[in-house]
Amino acid sequence: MNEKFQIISLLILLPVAGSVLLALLRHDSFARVIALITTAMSLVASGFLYIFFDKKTHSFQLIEGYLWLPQWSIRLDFAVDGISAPFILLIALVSFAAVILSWNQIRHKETAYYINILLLQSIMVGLFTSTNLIQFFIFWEAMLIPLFLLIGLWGGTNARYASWKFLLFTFGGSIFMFVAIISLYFMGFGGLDLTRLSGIRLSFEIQSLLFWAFLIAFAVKIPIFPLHSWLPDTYYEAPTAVTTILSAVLAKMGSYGVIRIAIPLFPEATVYYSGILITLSIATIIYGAYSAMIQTDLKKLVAYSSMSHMGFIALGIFALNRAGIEGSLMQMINHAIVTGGMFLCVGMLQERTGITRMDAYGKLALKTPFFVIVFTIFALAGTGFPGLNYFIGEFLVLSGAFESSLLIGSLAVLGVLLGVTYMSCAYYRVILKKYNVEVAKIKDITAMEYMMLTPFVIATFFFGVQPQALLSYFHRPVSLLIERLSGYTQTFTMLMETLR
Amino acid sequence: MIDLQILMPEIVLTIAMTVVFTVGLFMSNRSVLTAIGISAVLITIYLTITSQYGTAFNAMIRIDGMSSSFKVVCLIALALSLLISMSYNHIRDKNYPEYCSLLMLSTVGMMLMASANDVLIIYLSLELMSLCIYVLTGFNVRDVRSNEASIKYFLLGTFAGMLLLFSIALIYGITGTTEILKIAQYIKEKGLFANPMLLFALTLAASSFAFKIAAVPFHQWSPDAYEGAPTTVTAFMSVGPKAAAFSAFGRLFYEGFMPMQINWVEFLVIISILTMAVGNLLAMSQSNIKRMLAYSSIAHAGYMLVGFASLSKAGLEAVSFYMLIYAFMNIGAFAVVSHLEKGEELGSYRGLWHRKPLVAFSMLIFMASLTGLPPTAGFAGKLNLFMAAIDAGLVVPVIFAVIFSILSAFYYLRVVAYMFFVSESEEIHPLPTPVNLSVALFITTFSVCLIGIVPSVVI
Repeated sequence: MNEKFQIISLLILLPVAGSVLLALLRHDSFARVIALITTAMSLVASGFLYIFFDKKTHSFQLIEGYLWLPQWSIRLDFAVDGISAPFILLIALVSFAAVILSWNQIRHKETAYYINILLLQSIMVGLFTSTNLIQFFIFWEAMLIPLFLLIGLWGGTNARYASWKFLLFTFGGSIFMFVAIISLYFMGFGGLDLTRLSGIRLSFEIQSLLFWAFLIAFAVKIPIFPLHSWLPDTYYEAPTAVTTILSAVLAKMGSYGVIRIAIPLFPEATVYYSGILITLSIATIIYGAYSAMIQTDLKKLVAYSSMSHMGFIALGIFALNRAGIEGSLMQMINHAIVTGGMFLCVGMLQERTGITRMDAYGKLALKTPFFVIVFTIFALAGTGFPGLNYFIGEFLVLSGAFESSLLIGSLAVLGVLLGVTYMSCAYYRVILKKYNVEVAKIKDITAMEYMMLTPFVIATFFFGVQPQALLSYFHRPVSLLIERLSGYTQTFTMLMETLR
Repeated sequence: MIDLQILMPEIVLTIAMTVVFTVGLFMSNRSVLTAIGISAVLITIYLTITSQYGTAFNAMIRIDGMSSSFKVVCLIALALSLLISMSYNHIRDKNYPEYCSLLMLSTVGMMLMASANDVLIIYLSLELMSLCIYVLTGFNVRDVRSNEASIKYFLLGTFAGMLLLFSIALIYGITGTTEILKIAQYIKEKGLFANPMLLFALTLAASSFAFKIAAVPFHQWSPDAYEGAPTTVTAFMSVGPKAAAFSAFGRLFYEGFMPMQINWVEFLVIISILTMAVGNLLAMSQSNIKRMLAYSSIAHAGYMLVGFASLSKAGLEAVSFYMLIYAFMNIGAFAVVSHLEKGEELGSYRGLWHRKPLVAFSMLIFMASLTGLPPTAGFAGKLNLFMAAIDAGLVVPVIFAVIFSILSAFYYLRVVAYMFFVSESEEIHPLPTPVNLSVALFITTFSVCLIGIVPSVVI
């Protein structure tokens, strides 16, 4: 691909330009059209980035940037590598879907709503293309205000409480990260560039401190038990389009941060503390699954299932072997597709009836056969049905977990079983249970919604049969990570022995 | 001739001041007067940026990069204040020419203070600046609070001025000179690093400057003065005098008392921590926005003192950079306050977003920037300050500063929550936003965003 063509700038600036246009026009009636066109254009542009990406190298490519703070020679450099490239496409896809899902749902103060959505999109791209720590932090924090407003203004009845809670948790977590970044800067490695920092070996004590500082910030976003308590409120109260973005992309920021920052910079600490983190991940899986089981509300159920699946992702990462990490990366994308798709389904139901309680629905197939097909696909995918995308990722994560220990593997399998249980309960209640007059007038999928769902459904099948299309992006960077970790596996095995 | 050339920006501004005053005798058209004032300020800014460095009038005046940057901050504060004053109807048309000339004259004082190279010039220009501001604080003659604020500020301010004068007398008594560089030379030559008399003089001078930048324990005047003064004046005096005081503070302490540095760094660190603590903690319990911003202004003086205490060129540069950002964000916030009817009360921000979405949006940007959230300029400024401080080994005050920045999110974002989340109780018919305020809000919002995203445009 032509290096002169600055595609990342385009991806960041396009949504910004869209929101400026919206702000200038200030006309609610076609705000959504502009937002749709902008996100569609970003989607095409990210498609190009995804296709023309060079998979043969592990280093950053398409680098572009500028000097941000000259006194301290801090630069903002935007670039992608094999780990981040799929996420860029994902962000564009999810934003596109979010705009369509909001099409009829958000009918008040639309201009401001879409400005926030578009700004959020460019901030997300900025985060996933960051190549140094301060830049990562800037985008991490920049996300707070748009989300705070999106949740609080367009959310449900209790949305203000939820948005304050979200803000406090995220802000509180990120402060540790800020302190860690500043202290890393003054350790004198000549900047905060990730590539440079990952070549440096810090002493174990420093690694541990910094590792935990970063991990608190990441664990809030993932979320890992016990830092999850903002999640049910936020996911439930936020407008469903925003919930989709939250679960599909923002949750990944945490796990992406672990792979991008925590492992390469603090390998020894990661290996040393992986036992604790694996335990917490298992707790997240099981806690999320049991909580999902007792929900009577579909949106809450999907929220908890999202948390449970994020536990799998964290588990795969901290298993610290090739299968685990690649499985996790794969699962991050799959989770976005499947849970994102689930939330889209929830949003579609909510749009039609205004209800997310499960007992309000039943025998949906009579009225909305196509919706039921889509819902079934996502529900099956979510339980890890072979041939669909989740199966591959989950299989890799599980094999990674078994590779590290039998106990962990078995507990993770328990999580899968619980997943099947709550998903089939939900499926029974929403789709199969006896006919409910309350939702008698429900309508099937519209043309617009087909446009939104098709990419998700295709991806669910495509990555199920063709996982290499995704995994091939991860091979090189993950090899580098594994190489970096390999020196410390000795300690790791010892630790595992004590865990057994 | 070269002397006059160096002093050209001040001269131009003084002439412009007299022009505004004279024109004001014959007509009181606010737009014309403001236009004259602002164009004069823009010319002065241009002259300041392009002026050559050097000394003048027997080394009483010295222009260098640092003084120029502080002068530009003062001038920007003046321009923005003039712009937002145009539609501020608590100042009567009849008095508007005087009002403008006082603002400009006060800025002349600030500029002289920033370029002073002699303690006496510092004192004289400080008094020139302050006298104008005392009058401006009490400009609403019929408002009791304004009178009270003015008297309070005047009495305490004069006292602080006296402290500086006393300090100058002591310095002159010991060293026999009033020129800053010669003072340093004398201290070094005679080895007066711990001379008790000099230490006393140093403390007095520091107290006087601490008064002007509203640092603890000399901050008590500021909430009352800020609350009582007309809002546009509050906007001006929260930025201009601070910038000037930091500049002179820097001159005297970075150069004059530099040989004695061991004795006053820790002192400054303690002051900065106390200032941040008092400013942030008291700001939390305010329901009056002007008082809240007054305490927040104390807190920001604390952050700047952290950078100032680093005793490095980078530190002072960071202070001037932060001052510039502060000028934009704080005057922007005060512009919103001055625009709203009963803008002082937190309650009047209820549902502002439904009434005036763009005003609410700019206020959101200012509040985020004052908190220090990226990608606004406030983050870049704070980062720069803290880095300078850590670079100089001042880790403890930076830790405090970070903690207090987090706490400050509470009271800044409370305003945001009021604007966006609370629905208004009764239907209020909003006044249309006047053009000058829209322009001012646009300039400030745009600058805050731009400096945050590309700080190198101003560095």
